[in-house]
Amino acid sequence: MYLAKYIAKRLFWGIVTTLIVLFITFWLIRLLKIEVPLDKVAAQIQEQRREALGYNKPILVQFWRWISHLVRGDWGTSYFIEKLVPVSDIIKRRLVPTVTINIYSEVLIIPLGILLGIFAATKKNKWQDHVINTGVMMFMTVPSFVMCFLWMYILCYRLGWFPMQIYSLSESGGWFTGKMLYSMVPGILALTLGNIASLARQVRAELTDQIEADYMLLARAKGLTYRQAIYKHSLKNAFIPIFPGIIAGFLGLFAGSFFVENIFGIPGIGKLTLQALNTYDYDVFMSCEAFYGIIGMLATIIYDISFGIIDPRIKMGAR
Amino acid sequence: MKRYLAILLALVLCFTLLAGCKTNTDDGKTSPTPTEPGGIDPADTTGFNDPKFYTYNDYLPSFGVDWNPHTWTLDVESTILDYLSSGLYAFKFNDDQTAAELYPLAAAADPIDVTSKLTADQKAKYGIPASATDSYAWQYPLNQDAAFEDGTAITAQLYADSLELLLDPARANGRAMEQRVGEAPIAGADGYYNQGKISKVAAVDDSDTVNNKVYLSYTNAITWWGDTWQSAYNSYYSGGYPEYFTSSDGVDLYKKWGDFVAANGGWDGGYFLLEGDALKEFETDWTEVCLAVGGGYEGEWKEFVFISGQDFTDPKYSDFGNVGIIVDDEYTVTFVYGKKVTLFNAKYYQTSTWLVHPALYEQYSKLEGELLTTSYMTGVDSSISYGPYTLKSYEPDKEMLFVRNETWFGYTDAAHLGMYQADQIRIRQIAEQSTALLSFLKGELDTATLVATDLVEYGTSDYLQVMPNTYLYRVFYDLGLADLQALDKNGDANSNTVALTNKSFRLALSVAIDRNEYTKITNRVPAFAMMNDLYTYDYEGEMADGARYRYRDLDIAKEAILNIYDIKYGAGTEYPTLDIAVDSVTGYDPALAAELFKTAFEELSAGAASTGFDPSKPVHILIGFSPSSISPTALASQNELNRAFAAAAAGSGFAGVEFEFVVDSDRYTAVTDGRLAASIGAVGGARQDPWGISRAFLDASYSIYLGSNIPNDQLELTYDWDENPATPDETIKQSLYEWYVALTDTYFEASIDLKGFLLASLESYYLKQGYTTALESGVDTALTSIRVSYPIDEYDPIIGFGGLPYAKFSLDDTEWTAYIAQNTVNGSLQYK
Repeated sequence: MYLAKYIAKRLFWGIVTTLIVLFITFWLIRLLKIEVPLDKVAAQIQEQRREALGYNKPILVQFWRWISHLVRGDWGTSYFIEKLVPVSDIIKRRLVPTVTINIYSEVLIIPLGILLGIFAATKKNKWQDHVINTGVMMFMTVPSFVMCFLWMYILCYRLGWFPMQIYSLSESGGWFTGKMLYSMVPGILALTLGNIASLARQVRAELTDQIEADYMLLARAKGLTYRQAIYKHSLKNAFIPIFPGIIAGFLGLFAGSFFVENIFGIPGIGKLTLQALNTYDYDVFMSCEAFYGIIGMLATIIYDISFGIIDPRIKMGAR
Repeated sequence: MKRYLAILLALVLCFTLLAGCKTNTDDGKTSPTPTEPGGIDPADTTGFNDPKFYTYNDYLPSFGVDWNPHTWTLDVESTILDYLSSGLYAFKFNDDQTAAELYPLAAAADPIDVTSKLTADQKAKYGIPASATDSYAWQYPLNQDAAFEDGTAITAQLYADSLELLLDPARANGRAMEQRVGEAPIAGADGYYNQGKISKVAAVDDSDTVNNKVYLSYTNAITWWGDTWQSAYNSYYSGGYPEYFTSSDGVDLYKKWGDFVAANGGWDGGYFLLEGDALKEFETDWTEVCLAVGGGYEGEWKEFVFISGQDFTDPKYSDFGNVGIIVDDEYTVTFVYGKKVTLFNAKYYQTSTWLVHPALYEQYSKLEGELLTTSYMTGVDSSISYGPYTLKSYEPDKEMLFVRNETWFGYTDAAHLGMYQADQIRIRQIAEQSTALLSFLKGELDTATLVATDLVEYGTSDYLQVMPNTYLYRVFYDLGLADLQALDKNGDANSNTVALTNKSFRLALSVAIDRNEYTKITNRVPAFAMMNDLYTYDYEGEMADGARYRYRDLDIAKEAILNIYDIKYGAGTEYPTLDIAVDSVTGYDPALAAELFKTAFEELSAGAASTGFDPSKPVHILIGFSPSSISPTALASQNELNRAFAAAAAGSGFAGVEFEFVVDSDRYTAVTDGRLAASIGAVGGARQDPWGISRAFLDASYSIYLGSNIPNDQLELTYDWDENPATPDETIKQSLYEWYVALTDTYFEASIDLKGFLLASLESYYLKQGYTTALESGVDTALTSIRVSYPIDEYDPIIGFGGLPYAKFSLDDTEWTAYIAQNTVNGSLQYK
């Protein structure tokens, strides 16, 4: 009961926040000035088209029209990216490559991040820990776009192991073929290494705290080996704050990455958002923003309630 | 221990990086053996019957949104359309590949002039002179083999149906512009497109308002200021000149008439019709203002209003039958043009297509808001080809794949032997130029454009292609004192922009710039005048005999350049001949710049009381810059300009002279409405029409920004205007706009000497006044693949290097893969 009330409350405020953010975004993108051609006839035609599409109506009227359509499932129509194609169709299509590459990444991030974190924690202050920590710091501090260019330059250009851009469907035969996976490797690496480092660091920190906790002494005193004590007790406790992040991270699969998608030619949702902004395709941009807003809201709620699922002693919403 | 481990880890990381940076030396790979450009015989094994398979790998930074011939807007969209369509005529090389020629493609032969066959009724219907006997109506025989890939024959009726769709006012098709206005407009097309409307134009003089409706508008530029009422009011009223808007009894007239409009129905599309008593009262109000602060002549008040231009409300404009297209028979169509069109232009303006597949076009049409629009030619299903290739697959944002259109009539005629060797065209979307270049160097692409910094490595490459164009990149200014004063006062980074009102200052800016240095940064070529040497006054002549008939080669045009930069030639001067003198022009004269800055400072200081110039502050001008041009190059070019200005202005008295580039997507309007004092922009025209480019600078109905009232400057010219040596030369003084009309209309059929004189005079006057600062001309550079060659090495302004139709492959796809594997060194094929 507490949980249901809590979720309802979080949903309500999430929706309100999302609406406010969407309105501000809606207003801001319309403040961006459209490039007007020097040629008056061309400028006149451009204006005529904008007028006909209702872009000159008051901002509140436009927003109401857009949001009321959105609620009814009509995400609008693209004019400058895929002309007259429903935005929902575009987003659905663009989600496939985004989710694909993110799934490949998560498959690497989660086990490697956890294993490295555990290994570093169990070898705290030994050389193995230092090696891992140095790598973690390096991959966490280098910005993702630098990583993208670095991998592209080294793996794709100098070593020539991979194509510069991911293959097209006509070359690979589909999103889930071995050939497509091969061409995605540099992008996956760019997405993965920073996140592995981040997860390893978190696991190490949490596990280190648990290993040093008093109950570990008791566990050892009961006769458990060091390894048994870690796997039966410390690890479980350490995962209470880590696991919700991993669950929420799965929702992040849909979010895409501006840099990775643009640099490696992945026609996903991140690239779409940037393109919508560049071409002033209002419906597409706003729908992407709404999509991100909803994903973000759900991720936060899931993150919160998953604490209660992992550890039943934690009752979300209870006083 | 920790220290050793850290060192060990660092070494491991360094080793990993070095692995990527390893340099291959002698590893047994063969040296690249480039093909000889242009060395392939068309009769050889190349061409579309070649059993080998060739893929041309291209890229575009964006695919645009549609390649519909009625709505495309970007060059990339036009490129895509070219693969899928065939114009009535097209360019190809002549037999010995020394020049381009026009040949019939979707047409069967050259058009025939049938103007004399038009009846009096037809001439009246199409609005062409009753006395016209030639050059208005051209009959085109159509190629009966031409058809869409679904078998739909391309008939005369299809052209008529396509034109009707193109001009449909409910669709607001952008490409309709070319058939409505310009050098070869279809008669009645503009009327049909504008049916039911009344166009409004800013009144220029007293006579303008006779028999016209009079409109008030606050948001469109009027003649008086060359600006909008709104921006002029904001500038003048708050800038210390309220008398421009105040009646003798102290009423704020801007506010009064704004309130009047609001109380009487409000603005209708930005205009308000003044009539009856309101018109009389308006006249009284503004006559009073004009007498106080204006020129003081009767009727001057009319320069504050707009008048109805052409009235398209007559029902005849809604009748497509009045548009100049006549279906003579199934495969013969006549176009009646709204103005005289030469045989060459009758072909040239039909090289681009507006033909559509009407059934498919309608199938993809949809009403969005009040706009009837279509997604025709936006994807595989909505595209249909009648050109050499067809769209096989399309992944938005990723790839377009074209394959041969086996039904294309061009593959079975004799006109294209040896052409179109590429069996397949793969176009990837690669937004980053640097990524595209790396892909090219790896052999994944067959071409890549270069930027300035790339030329350090590839500037002498055998595979470099240099492609100049007609674009002039220039700084243009707001010269209105009140606007500039307002900018200086409003607290942003602008200061002393009022300096731009001083002619010496503007000229000093121009000659202070070392354009050779500047263009090393931007990878373009220096521009010293409004037009570069690509503009030709006899396009057809150039194609026929390969000679140059360039405006810039005319003596009068050369003298114009010397006049702009005050360079003398002849006996007793540094330059004995005109050509030597012209060759010496760099547009850079630091000594003259220093002198002009000094003069400007003295003049501005003397007039400081009236202009607000503050000698203690630097001149700092925000310059509008296109968002699409943001790059490190932009910053470097800004710095180079400022370096040049600082050097020239040192010791002049100015506390500094600086430009600061600011991004503004609406930079033309920003200068018009006083938000910015200056902007940088490109302007270019059709290279076969040197006379027409002047409209970009002088025709208010065409260009958004013309500077404050520049077209109304009076210019006096003396010439033998009737071109009769028996009569004396005549001196005429009229506005620049009127001279522009004379050039493009009155003297349209005059000799090249007369037109050259007139254009050179306008060009010289414009730059001598410092109305714009010419910086550079456009040029593109690209590398082309080792395996691809073209018939010519030097860029031909008409046909380029020949393009894809002439691309010759020395290696097919399989051989190319093997070549790459064998010849890649350090990740790259050798193009340096």
